[in-house]
Amino acid sequence: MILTNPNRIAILGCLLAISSLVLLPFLELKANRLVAGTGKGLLELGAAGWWLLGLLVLVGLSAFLKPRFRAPVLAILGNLVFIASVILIGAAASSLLGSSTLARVSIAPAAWLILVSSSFLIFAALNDLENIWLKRLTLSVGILVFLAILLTGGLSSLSVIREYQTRLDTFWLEVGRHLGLAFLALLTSSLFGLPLGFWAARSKGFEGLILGFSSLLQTIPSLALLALLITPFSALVRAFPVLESFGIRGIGFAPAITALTVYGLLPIARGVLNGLKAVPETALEAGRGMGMTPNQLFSGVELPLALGLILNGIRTSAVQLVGLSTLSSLIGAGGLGVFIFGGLGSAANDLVLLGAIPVLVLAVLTDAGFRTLEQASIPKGCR
Amino acid sequence: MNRKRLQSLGLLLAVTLTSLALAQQKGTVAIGSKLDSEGQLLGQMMRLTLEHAGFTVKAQIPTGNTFVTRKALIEGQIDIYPEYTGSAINNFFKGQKIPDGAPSRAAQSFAIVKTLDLKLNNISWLERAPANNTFAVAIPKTLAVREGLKSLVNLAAYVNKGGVLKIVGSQEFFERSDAFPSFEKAYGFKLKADQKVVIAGATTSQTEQAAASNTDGANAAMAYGTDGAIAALGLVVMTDPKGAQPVYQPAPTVRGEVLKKYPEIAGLLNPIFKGLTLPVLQNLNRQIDLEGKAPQEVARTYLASKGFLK
Repeated sequence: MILTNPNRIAILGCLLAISSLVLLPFLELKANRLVAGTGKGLLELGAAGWWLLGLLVLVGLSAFLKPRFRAPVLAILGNLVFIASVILIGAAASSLLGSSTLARVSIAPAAWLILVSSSFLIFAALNDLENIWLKRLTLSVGILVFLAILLTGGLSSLSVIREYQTRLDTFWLEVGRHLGLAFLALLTSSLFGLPLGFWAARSKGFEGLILGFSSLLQTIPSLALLALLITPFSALVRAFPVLESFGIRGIGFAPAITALTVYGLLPIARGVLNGLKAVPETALEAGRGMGMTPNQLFSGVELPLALGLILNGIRTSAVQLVGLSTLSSLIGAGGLGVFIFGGLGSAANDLVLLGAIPVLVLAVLTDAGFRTLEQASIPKGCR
Repeated sequence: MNRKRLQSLGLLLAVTLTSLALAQQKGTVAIGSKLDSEGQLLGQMMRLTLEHAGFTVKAQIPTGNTFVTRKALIEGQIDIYPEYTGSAINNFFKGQKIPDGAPSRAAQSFAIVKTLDLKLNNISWLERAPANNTFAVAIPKTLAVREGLKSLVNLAAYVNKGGVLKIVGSQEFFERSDAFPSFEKAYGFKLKADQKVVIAGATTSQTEQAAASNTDGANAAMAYGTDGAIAALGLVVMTDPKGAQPVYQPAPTVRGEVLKKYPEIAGLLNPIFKGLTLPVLQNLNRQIDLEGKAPQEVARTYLASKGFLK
């Protein structure tokens, strides 16, 4: 039953978790929101830490089982480690905090690393599992339990949740604005990027020009671009006051979308160009041989074959734009950057997290969403 | 009798309608602010006050850094935002002749920015707050007590007799002639390069935190007079008896056209800014920075407690 070829990812995750648990602080207790805190190791925080340590040793041992046995064991134990650490973070935070109104508890390196290594364990299990439904179950249990803990207030003693609670009235508004900015910019980027890429693929002369130009645009410092756009937009609105009723002004949404569009162009244009260039000459020959007109050739052969890379470019652009929309807050357009830059300015790290974590989640979700879309929209024969 | 009653009823109706129409004429005002918490606090105070008075307020709080926000005001994208007399003198009137020593005198520097901004840009400065948010040097209380340091005179003497001092500040703080160099000049001391920790673009919250936790051996920090966290971080501010620093008093800056259309804005905002003394602002900033309350909540509670909001 014991195998000489153990699951290396699981062992790595286990070692990472155990060493950070023993060596690094798990939570940080601060007298108030701004001062530096004192780190607390998990093993100082009570008996629960030792249980987690025991669980991790068990996981390490199970990595040596045969794949058939270890896959379900790793799946269950990986999720257990994840859920146990989330519960521990919440419980330890509230016991550290006591009744103090000014004190804050933040997540320290060991807690982050244990969460990361539990995801290693879950991925190790996914590698060994064969049944697609078991895979999906393994992946979703931890997330669902985490959401349940979060929504029932199990983590409400954490500083980042405190920051959320004081900004309850603006948080979801800014999330909405952030998404609106990113996706409107993606739409306009596609509107310009798709034809540009097509044009570049059709003519050698334009290829260099278009790629050079959109690369050049990428090198403009984003903050400078945002500030530079105020003047032309203000002038535009002064010349055509009717624009103001569409929400176009010198600061805010309009210049932010413009700047983001500029940055979203390159991946999209490049995706179209690479996709069309990658279509094998033989496929085109075959099409021509069948008597296809140029239009039929494009819609029947080139586009389906290039679609994968085109959608890939759009996905890259979308993920980039979700990140870049952060900067819109510097020009009065709101978005999650409000929290990130506000937090940086007042050196309140947990406020930075309140902006940064949702950006991360949105980026991951955007990536996953577009991947699913790619899978669904590429014709079976071209996959 | 009946007719008279009808007449007076008609009159009443007319008066009501006119006042309704007048109330509707209040129109829209766009308010902005800079990114820092004091800027947002003052911006929110203006927003709440004008909304309470019946204006429709388009709030863009925060708008951006000094450059973006000022530009938005000049271009007419926002109508009002809070600005500091010292920042205005330093940044907005480059080609103008400013009398020597004027920036460090509160009344004179306010008079200068008020006159110049109205003349050059048609921007009006309303009543300023009697609080000075200028650059200062903060050191740990333990050091101050041990060495008996109260003012920059004491600090200069301490440095000149070889006392250990390492100060954290932004690049601007060390390079601008009216910032740290003016302290050195006025009080007759000079720090070596390895006694300065330069963090580009650092805010005072960051520098104060570094000095409080002795990061890199730092035991002094660039600070602002109205910072709320100084006391809570265990720091004290060295007083500036020679007035080496320009004065930074916050006041609403309003586009001339908007103030002409709605002159009552001055009457609404002036009493509020008059009440924002140094201890008041320090306390409000403290609630935002240290206790983590949202600027609009702190603004609302303060205005309500002073009877400006009902």
